Amino acid sequence: MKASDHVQDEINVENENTDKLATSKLGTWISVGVVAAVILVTYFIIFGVYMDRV
Amino acid sequence: MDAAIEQNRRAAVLSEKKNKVLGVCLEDARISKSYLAVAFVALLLGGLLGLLQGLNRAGVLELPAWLNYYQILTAHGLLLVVVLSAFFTIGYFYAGLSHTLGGLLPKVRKLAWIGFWTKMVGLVLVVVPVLMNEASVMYTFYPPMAAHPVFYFGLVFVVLGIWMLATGAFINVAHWRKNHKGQHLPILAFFATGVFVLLVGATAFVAVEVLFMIIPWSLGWVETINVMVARTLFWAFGHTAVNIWYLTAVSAWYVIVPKIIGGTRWNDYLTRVVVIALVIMNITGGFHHQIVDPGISLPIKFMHVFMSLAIGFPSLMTAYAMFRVFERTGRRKGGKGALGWFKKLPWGDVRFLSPFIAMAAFIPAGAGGIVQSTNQLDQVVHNTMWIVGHFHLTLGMSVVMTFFGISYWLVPYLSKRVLTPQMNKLGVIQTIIWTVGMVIMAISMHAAGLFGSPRRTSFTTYGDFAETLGWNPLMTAVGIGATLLLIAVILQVHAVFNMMFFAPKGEVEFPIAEVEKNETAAPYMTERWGIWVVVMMIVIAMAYVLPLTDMIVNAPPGSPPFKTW
Ligand code: HEM
Ligand SMILES: [Cu+2]
Repeated sequence: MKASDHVQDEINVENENTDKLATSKLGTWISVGVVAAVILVTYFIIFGVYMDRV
Repeated sequence: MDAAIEQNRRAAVLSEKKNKVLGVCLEDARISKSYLAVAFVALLLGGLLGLLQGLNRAGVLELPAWLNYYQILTAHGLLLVVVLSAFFTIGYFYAGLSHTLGGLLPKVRKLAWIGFWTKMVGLVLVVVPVLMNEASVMYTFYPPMAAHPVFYFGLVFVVLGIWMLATGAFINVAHWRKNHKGQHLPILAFFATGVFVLLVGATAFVAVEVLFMIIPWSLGWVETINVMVARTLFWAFGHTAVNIWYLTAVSAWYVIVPKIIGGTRWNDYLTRVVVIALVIMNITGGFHHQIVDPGISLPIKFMHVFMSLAIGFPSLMTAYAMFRVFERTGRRKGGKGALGWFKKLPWGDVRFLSPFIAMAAFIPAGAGGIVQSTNQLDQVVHNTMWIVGHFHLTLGMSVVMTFFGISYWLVPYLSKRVLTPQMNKLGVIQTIIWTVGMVIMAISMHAAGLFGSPRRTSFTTYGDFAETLGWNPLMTAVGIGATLLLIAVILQVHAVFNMMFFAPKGEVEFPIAEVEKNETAAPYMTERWGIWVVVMMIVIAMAYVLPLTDMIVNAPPGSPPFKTW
């Protein structure tokens, strides 16, 4: 198989997937955003308590 | 390259077919079942003791004179964080090795049994002095607290058993690799390799501590012990141990859960990189348990904060990978909009529900861990109930609930029985009760800790000191959570033994997800375990040589043994 054929195959597969399966990552990024928010909020709570006590 | 990928795929399909025909290898299954049986008996006993602790700290249960709070706490810690976790991990990975590598070799089987009985002997030797209140040193057994020497001999046997199991795993993996040149190790066996490498690394430290420091000292051959060195060696082990249990749970998140929800694995390359990263960077994290310890210089502590935070990265990658799998699978099932995929996941299936809640719990658990790794912020929470809340989220939810979820397919698979719809329903109920109990308990523990309530302290009102009386409602909530948890423990243990011995006969699958069809293979580099172990040792040397040398060269006077209880 020539390299260009291979690439074209991959593109075709990718296109099919995109149409059929709607490979949106929106939900993933929202969820990862929640993870980030929890980390930051935890950090600020403890930082607040620390500053309150030093 | 393409040919190699194709070959890998065909080999995987072939071994899958073979396993379908042959089913589970009964001799291998017996090994795993024995380990799982011990694990869940430990859960029952440990859970019972947990309830006693919870009720005591809630102020509703006064322990009789012959039962010491710290004795119970020692047994609770050991049973759950050492026995349950280790036995489950070994039973699960030996089943995984047998399934993905085409059966265990006869000599590996033999090693697994010798290891099992070595561990059991060790366990008895540990338990007897604990029962006699001669070893109420808690699972960390920090010197200068000294237990009866038999306790430490027991630990030596436990470690020897672990080394046998690790050796067995390595032999089986090496055998497979010899016969499958150029192929990637099946992913579950890849995780198992990482786990057993870490187990050997971690136990090496505690073996040195126990064999060369504590045993001579507890037998009176030497008079004093270097407390700092002992603590440092312990945490290189203790920290790594809990991370090994976590890595075991993570293996199910990457490999098993995608199959259960009817999807595929996301990115084999990333998965292998996560395993390698967790293996290389793990052991040095031990120092974050000593951030507040005296006698370690500030620059060294500073380095260790970075080394600890580094362990967070693979977990962040895992979070992304998991959500990606969920979203992709949910969308393929017709989930629309930004979050519609979420509803398409199989919420009624305990094999998914339990590990999903486990993952969700790791969000606050991991966040707490990151925050605690900061020197100043750790001073707010160090040795308070916050820490106890933290590790009941990490271990009591993320790890153990994943184990529970696994048990609902692994035990039927090993016993050639089925998971009935009724049992699935019981599992869902058990999962919900455990979740509610743990959430109540963990939140109140975190809160009590922020107000200053110390961990490892039996019930007291501090002479009705006003400031500390405010902790009591929170500790009452701990008792309520503990009660719910024991109900869930009983359901879970019932489920395991029912599925092992009484459920209807039949076949269930060992759910291992495949990669996407058009995914490019990971480079073969990932399989070079020799390199990863060397890199791991270099990182360990960077972290430990300087501080340990300093602690030994500038040693404090050292301490004789004390019995503080
Ligand atoms: C029935 C469920 C459980 C209950 C009610 C429970 C309750 C408790 C309580 C009240 C403490 C004592 C806090 C203190 O005085 O410092 C404790 C400590 C601890 N628990 Fe649990 N727990 C449960 C399950 C687990 C699980 C599943 C694990 C791990 C796999 C675990 C690991 C530990 C450890 C390592 C300690 C610390 C022991 C020490 O400080 O030496 N627990 N638990
Ligand atoms: Cu740690």
